[in-house]
Amino acid sequence: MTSTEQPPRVMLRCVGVTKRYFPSGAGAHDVSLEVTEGQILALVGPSGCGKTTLLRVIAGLESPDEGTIEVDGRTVTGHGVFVQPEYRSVGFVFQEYALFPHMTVESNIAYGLPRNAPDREQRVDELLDLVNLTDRRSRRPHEFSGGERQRVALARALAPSPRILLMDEPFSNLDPNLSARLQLEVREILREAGITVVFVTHDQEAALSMGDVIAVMDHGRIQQVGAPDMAFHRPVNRFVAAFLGEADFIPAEPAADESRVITELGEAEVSGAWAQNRDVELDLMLRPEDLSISAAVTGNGRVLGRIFGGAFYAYTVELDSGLVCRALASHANVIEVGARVNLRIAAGHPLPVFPRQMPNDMAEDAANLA
Amino acid sequence: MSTTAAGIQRLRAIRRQRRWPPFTLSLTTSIIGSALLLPIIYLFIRTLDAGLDSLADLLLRPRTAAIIVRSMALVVIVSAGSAVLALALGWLIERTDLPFRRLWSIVTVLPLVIPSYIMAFLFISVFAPRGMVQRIVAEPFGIQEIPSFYGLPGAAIVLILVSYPYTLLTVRAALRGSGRALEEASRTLGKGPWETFLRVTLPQMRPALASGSLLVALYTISDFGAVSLMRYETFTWAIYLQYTSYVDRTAAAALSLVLVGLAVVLFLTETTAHGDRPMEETHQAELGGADSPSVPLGPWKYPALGLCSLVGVFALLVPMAVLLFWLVRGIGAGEELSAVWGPALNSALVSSLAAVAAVLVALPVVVLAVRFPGRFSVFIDRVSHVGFALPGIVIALALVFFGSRLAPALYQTHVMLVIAYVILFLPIAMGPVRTSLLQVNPRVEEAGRTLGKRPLQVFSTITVPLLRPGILAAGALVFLTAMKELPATLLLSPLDFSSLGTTIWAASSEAFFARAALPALLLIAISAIPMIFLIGRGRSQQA
Repeated sequence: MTSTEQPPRVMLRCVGVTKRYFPSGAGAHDVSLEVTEGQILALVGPSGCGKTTLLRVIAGLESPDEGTIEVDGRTVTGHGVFVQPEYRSVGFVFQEYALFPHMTVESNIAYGLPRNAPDREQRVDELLDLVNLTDRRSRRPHEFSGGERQRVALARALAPSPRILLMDEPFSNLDPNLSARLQLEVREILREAGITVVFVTHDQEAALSMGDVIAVMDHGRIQQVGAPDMAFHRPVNRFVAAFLGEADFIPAEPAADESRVITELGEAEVSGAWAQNRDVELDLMLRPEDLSISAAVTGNGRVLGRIFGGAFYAYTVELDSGLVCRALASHANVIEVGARVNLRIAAGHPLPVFPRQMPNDMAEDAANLA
Repeated sequence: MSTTAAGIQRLRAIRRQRRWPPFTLSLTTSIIGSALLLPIIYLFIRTLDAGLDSLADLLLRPRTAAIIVRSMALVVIVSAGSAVLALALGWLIERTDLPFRRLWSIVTVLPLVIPSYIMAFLFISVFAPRGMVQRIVAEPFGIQEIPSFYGLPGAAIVLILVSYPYTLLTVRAALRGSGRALEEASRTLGKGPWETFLRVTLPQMRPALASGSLLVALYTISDFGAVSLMRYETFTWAIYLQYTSYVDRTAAAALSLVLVGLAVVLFLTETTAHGDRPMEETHQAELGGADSPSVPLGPWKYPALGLCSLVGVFALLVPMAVLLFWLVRGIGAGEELSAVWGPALNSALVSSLAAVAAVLVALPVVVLAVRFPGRFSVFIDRVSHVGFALPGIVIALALVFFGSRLAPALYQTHVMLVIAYVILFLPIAMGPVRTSLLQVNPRVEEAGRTLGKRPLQVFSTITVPLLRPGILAAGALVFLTAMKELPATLLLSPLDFSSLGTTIWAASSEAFFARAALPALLLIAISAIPMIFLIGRGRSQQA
């Protein structure tokens, strides 16, 4: 991204990839994506949205109904071509790791290397070193913990030096603490290997923290591609807004200033595709951290519930208008359930707006999430 | 979360259904399927050659009707007898405080290791006219004639004793799997133990009873050894008599086709009964509770112990004692013990060949069935179970016709015998291989592909090593089953060839019981090997 002298090399290009499954569900519809060299793309979406299908299609484990796929400039699927998975140079880390249980860690890693390659042993050593398992190279996979198996799977997939690496839900089988630690560790390993990665997850936090780019997918379609912070703060639709974090929507009226709206919780600066639109009724998206809450008898709402989250309290507030919003407050600010509160917008940045009447498919998405 | 996970699994299942098998696999399995069906189809053609008139003439004779009635009577009596015995023993062992339950759980399954023709000859030597009972028990009291043991009673008793363990095993598995929660629920709802058994336990056992009984029914209708020694003319023996006594073999072929019809009816009933299985499986998954206290028998424990002892005595103790008696007596009378080595080596040789061949054939069929579900693979899977549904004598006869006309070079060679064993025991080989393959995560194979290996390389470096336990178990099972096989061996073996089974059968049909004793003991010892594994596995499951 930094170098402007020559365009970055595209390692993976999907154009119009469609894979239909019946009766419904986990297919992919008209998916187009580009991943440039060294990038980590996080493909995120709810279960059954088609992200694993897309990954398997890229690896050649499934053939798509339509669309083309190029890996490092070579067409591997489409235009009458279908390259078998073993000839694609695409590494795959499976969700359950799929380690070969009858082989040692060493043999697992060596499996993908040509049998008579002169540097075979050296390469295995390198990878054992990379994932920090040199001292246990002759153990069998069943002797390892989940996180260690994950590292073996990673080393095995990296060994033949694939053009791109695909990872299917790499952290979903681990407990949350380990998962968070391993995300950092794996990101470090991938950076060191300098490899281009597409990884699939249903966990938006993992996607936001690990991806250079994230692609949010739902019902088989890519909803938004972009930098994690962009997608979080400027979602293109309600689905993305609600999937990447908690979000409430409240009716908004245009203010005199064209870049602002007025709501029952105060004024806000707005952004996004609908910001300048004066023809439709708009809703403003609010994340709990965009609101300030304070106890006030003359306030505009009443506390319905309170959840202790460690560093903060999460409040659910019923506004006098009947709407329900969520707000975060520091643990110093304790308000009892049932108390009157004053809720105000306190975001330091523009907030996105969306039309109140949603197209049908998006309404469904929102309903599914609720 | 769990519903979406289940949904994903369902979608994955659909996904797999839509995949086509590789060409080489389709080709191999097509060839196997045709090879399995060809002899049977040829049997049909040959029979129809005789002309419909003479066929109708053959089949509409009163004698044919009598054979059908006798066969069905035997099937009904043996299945029902086995079901009652299995239900009683199974419930006592799994659900009550019966003393020595561990002992009974082993003793009651052990008769499975005795081939029907050995059980039959032992019973004949004891109970038949001029048998031990008459000479030792009846004659001293001046009783000259005891009721004849030959015919239906003898055949039914012998077959019940050797086949009820099949039903017992399925019933016990179902009892163990269903847990006691439902029964306890019934008791807390104010129902007594008897009503609970009738209204809760028994209905749950229905699928197990059905599949166990139909196994027994197929066993009975295919049995040749017991009915021939008991001189009870069912299909298998009638076919054999027809085949050996007359030059024109059309009658034998026609009878076989009727037998095929009966077997297919039974087989279809069996597969229909499978429809009940999912209910049983959900119960297994939902209800554990194996450690609940057992039903106290109180004074009923004495009749219960009596029943178990009776079964133990007749199915195990008497046969083994009589066998040892004949062995000692044979040695005393100067029987050549070394005569057993020839047949033993013959049996071992053809059985090993059959084991290797059956496993090699089972591998592609199982891979197709497990990894590429679809209409084609279901068809091939059904076809490969032909040996399960069709009696050995029919398959043997089909191969006789096929071999004598179309493959004279193979006719009456070891090769033909091995082919018959493969057709007969392919389902047995497929079982453990299938179980092993189901445990191999397909993602592991896909991992091999993404690491640059071609499908066949992945199969040989990953799938086969992971299937090793299944392959070994399959080979062992086929070997041990082939050792005991009788009708196909009688019909197809080379002229100067005798196996352990044919030696025993020939000796005992001429009442040379002492000569049959040593090979019989050897066969029982060999059959006991898989039994030991089975019991060991049952124990580890209980623990």
